[in-house]
Amino acid sequence: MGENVDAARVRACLAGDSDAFAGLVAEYEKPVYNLALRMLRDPEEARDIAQTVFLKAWQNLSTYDPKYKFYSWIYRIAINESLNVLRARTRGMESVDERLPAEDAGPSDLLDGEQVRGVVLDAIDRLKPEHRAVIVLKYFVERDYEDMAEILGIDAKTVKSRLYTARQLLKDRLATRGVV
Amino acid sequence: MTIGNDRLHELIQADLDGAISAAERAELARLLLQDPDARRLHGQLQRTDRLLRDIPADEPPAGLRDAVIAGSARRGVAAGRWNRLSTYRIAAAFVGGLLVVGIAYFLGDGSPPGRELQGSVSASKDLAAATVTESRASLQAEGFEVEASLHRDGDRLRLELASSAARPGELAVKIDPAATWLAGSADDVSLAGKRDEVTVRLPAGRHVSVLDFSGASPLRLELRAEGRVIAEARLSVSEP
Repeated sequence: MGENVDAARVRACLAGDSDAFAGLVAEYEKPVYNLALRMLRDPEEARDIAQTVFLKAWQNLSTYDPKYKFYSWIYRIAINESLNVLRARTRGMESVDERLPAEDAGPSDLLDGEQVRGVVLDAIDRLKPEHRAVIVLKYFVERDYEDMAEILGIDAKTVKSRLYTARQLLKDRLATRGVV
Repeated sequence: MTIGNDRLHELIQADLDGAISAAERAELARLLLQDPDARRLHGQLQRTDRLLRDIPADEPPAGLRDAVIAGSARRGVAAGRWNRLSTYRIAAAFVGGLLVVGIAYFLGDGSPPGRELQGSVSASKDLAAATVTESRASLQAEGFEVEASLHRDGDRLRLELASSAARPGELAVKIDPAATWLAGSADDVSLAGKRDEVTVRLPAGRHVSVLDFSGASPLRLELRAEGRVIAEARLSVSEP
């Protein structure tokens, strides 16, 4: 969806047009839900996060700065909400070394497509939140470095470095399982 | 894979991102040709990339969109609209309040109003039909500021409340239970155990609440803090 269409919808929302907000929800419902789903790997939590994201957007539309892309703004809310859930989830738990293989690691020569997908999602699940975030934005929301930098509030060089590390970690884990 | 490791990684990353130039591609090909470890690394990262890209997007659960739209409707107007209009509303309510007090002063016995409790009320009218379709009030006291507007839409009365409070309080909406009943509201609303009263909790900070009633106005509002009524107002619109 073009940025101009988003900007026009935001202006219409601020003028009290609730149909314009429905248009924004229809446009971003799927990527926001998938972003949360891949960050949290829990459909129920992803649904709650998606709902919270849109309601926060609705309530804070006046703080949206149109010089930024609308999707960057809403994905940023989604990433922050997901990170909050992840932090709450891991609070009090021992931190997992993302470089270590999972306990059930071992070559898996006879995995079918669905099982391979499960192994990949397990590997993402073991990444630290900052590494998971760049993988999710790159592969599941299909953002480039510039967008990811805007969404995460970091510079593009740091995004590139995090993505490089995250890919290496995933590759190592998938190699241990004989998947790559 | 010891010479030019950084350069190799940079080229592989560019390749995975589809941002590699023809010259860089040739350079990468040369490096891969020279080093079997580099070839293995490149192959594994390419397969990892492909596996990630092959994971399909899930469809959002049915009902998510409707839940979001319903939730935004319960929360009332978008914040931006509220923020922009609030200044005008406060100004209009203030002027309305001055007019009410002034008229009362000149039409009455000339003595100033003795009651401390006050709220200002203004109404917009559909002049053609001489029908009041919207009524507004502003209640301000002891660090609380509540702007209330009542709209009629057919049989439905919608009360929108926007509060700004330095400490928690509550707003009681007094209704005639024989003529009016609560049809819908957010979780911050309770019936307070009385048939003639609907209570909205006002947390510290800014808060917006929307209540839908069926039936007839007027609605009387009581702003309360620490069990005391500190301001009141009355909202009334024409019957359908």
